[in-house]
Amino acid sequence: MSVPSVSQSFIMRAKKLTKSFDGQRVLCDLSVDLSQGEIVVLRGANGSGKTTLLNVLSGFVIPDSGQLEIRSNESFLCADFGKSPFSAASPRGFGPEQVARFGCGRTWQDIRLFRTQTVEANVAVAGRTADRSGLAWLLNWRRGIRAERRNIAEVRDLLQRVGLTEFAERRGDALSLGLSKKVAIVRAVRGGATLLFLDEPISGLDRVGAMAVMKLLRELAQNPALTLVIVEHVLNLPHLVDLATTVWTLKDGRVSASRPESLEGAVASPDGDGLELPTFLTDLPEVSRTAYPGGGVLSIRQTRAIAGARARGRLDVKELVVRRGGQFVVGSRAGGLKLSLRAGEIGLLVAPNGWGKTTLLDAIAGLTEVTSGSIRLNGREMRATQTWARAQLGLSYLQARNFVFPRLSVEEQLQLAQVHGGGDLARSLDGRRLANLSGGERQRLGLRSVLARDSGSVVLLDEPFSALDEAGLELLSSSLIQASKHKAILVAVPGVPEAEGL
Amino acid sequence: MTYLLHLLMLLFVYAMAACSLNMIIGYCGLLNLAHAGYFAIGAYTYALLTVTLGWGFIPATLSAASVAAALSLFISLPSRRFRGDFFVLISLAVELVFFGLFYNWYSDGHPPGTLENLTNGPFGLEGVGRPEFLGRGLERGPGLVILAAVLTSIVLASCYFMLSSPWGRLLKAIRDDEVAVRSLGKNPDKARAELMAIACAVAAVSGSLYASYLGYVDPSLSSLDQSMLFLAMVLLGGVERFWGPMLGAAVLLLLPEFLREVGFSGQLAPSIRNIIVGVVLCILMHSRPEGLIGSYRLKE
Repeated sequence: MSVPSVSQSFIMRAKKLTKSFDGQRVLCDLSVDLSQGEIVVLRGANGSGKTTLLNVLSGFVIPDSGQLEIRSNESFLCADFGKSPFSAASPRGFGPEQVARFGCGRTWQDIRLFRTQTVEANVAVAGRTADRSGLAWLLNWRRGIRAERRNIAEVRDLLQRVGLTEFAERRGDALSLGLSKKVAIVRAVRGGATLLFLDEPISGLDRVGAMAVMKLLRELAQNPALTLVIVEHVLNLPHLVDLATTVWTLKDGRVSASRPESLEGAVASPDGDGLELPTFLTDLPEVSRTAYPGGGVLSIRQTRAIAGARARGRLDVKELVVRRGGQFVVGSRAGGLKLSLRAGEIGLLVAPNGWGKTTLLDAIAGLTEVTSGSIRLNGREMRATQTWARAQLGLSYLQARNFVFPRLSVEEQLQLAQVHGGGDLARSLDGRRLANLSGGERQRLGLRSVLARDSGSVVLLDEPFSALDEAGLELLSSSLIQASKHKAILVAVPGVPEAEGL
Repeated sequence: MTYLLHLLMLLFVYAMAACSLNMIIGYCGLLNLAHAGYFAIGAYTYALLTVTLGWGFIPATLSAASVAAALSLFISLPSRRFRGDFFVLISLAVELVFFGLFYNWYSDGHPPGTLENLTNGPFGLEGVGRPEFLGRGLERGPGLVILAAVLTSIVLASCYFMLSSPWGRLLKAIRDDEVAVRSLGKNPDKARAELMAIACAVAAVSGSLYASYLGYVDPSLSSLDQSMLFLAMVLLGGVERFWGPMLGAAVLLLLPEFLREVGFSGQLAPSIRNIIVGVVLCILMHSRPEGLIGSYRLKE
């Protein structure tokens, strides 16, 4: 660490940062300044390096070269990268803990709450009382208990201000997606963050969840001492336009800064607080609609005339019930869930977070235990069939997360998925390992793996639009329409049906 | 009566050892197979200090705890990089190193406790000093058991207090998601190293107590069987829940007595116990992986 030339205008300054993975340059002489109170929206195409930039700025990834300066009050943290003979070595005193102590907090796409702990404990752990060691506690317990009482009181006050009091005793793994994202933001604020990096804070949320998080972000944005850098999915960018003071566009490894007005032409204006569905899906003719208890709606869209009952690819679910600990997750006391899809049809299942979409898809794929009901694939009962056997019989499933094998190369992944000819995507990602792909690139590869699979007849897609940019959505549009001519496709997305125009 | 006191004494020793292992498993999420090694470090350090230097119970026990805490670096340093199966293998290697040292640090012709013959190899160390109270040695009997009860209560209450503090909450957070903890400005390596040092020190204290009670130590204290016994106590009673390992220790200690009561011979009972424990653990891991009263599932 060294003390740089003093400049009061920034709280973080990056100079000529470069970072490569497997020889692929992601950041290239990138330089940015962040001032106190700025609300930055970071956008860029899939694979442009948005998450990598966040990881670098928050100290989780060490760049190959460049400088990073962080100012907190009158003290500086300055790291000069690339000086060490070991390229991956971190400059002394620089790491995520040190960066966080300089007031830089962050959230993740996959949230990362402490799953076995309550909401209150999740937030309380960010306080300073946890910095004392166990022995220090034992030796000076009176002081420790007083400090902890203050910590808990402040946490309760914070939870009350953001409307989380009623969930304070709920475990981290028992929260809805929207609440989890909210708790993660509150936790980072409690950790003393004055510069907050938010990775897709409203992605994957239904209208209610997105509204709650947006409300929290608006409240945070009113604090002039707090600086926000938000990465968000292209479909959700309209919601951030009125919040942002600066837009960073990441392209070819460099950031260009612009005013938020530049976003208005590039993205559609938001309609209320509802999240957008791609128009290529909503424009398809609807042949039927089923409303389920709990607010879920299955809208079946047709992409070609069905060639009679003998059409290849068919999924029939009858009276399906999945219960967990006495609670109905799929189906209800009134009866089980029913759905039927044929080749040439796309079933668009729009339902709020926590409705049971992922559980339903997991049940169809055989990944979760079914309480009662029937699942038929091409006329054959699947209840007693293992997941791998269902896949062999033509079922393809793209899960919302964890659908790639990080140690495989792109080519190996496509071979494993029985996709012959990876097309432009395989060529553009040729030779790279999946661990080094961005979230958007992984999503595109996952979609390619299930939609172009030669032997597939029924495809299940859980939140396929997340992490995709405009080009990715365009690619998904064409491949989805193309695949649906021969396959039955069930797409699950979070949302409140009325808000999505369904 | 004497036999009941013997059982009580063993219960205190094993409860302390199992609770200390539970700190590593339940609060770090790491399966440690080297714990018997630290138990034996405590026993041998106590034995050497009392036999060769004539130290008393308290300084010898505190020294044993300090040595084990320092040697905990053998498992806490690898835990910075290795998790899951890899950590299990490393802890197994540490266990074998300890056992190898205790078993082989022997040289014919040199008295035990010297640099050439520190542990007296497979023959072990005899004449380990008993605790003293008001200048009188506590022989096997109520006095020693009361001392064990007091010591166990103090040690476990201290551990309970520490684990109930924000530090314990931080450890659980580290177990759940280390990356998220780092983003909050906390150093997980430091907290984990401290926990392991405390856990190993507690194991050493229980080892000292055991050595002072038996008056004899040998390398079997650091055998893999001993580690597996501690592990079975934790898994049976319940991971993370503070009282779980004590329940596990009680069940595993009393099971052979029960078997003897129902007619198995004294020689056969421990073997039958091992078979029963193996079967029960298999069933438990299948139907209730968190143990009888545990709350945390390993690798959930």
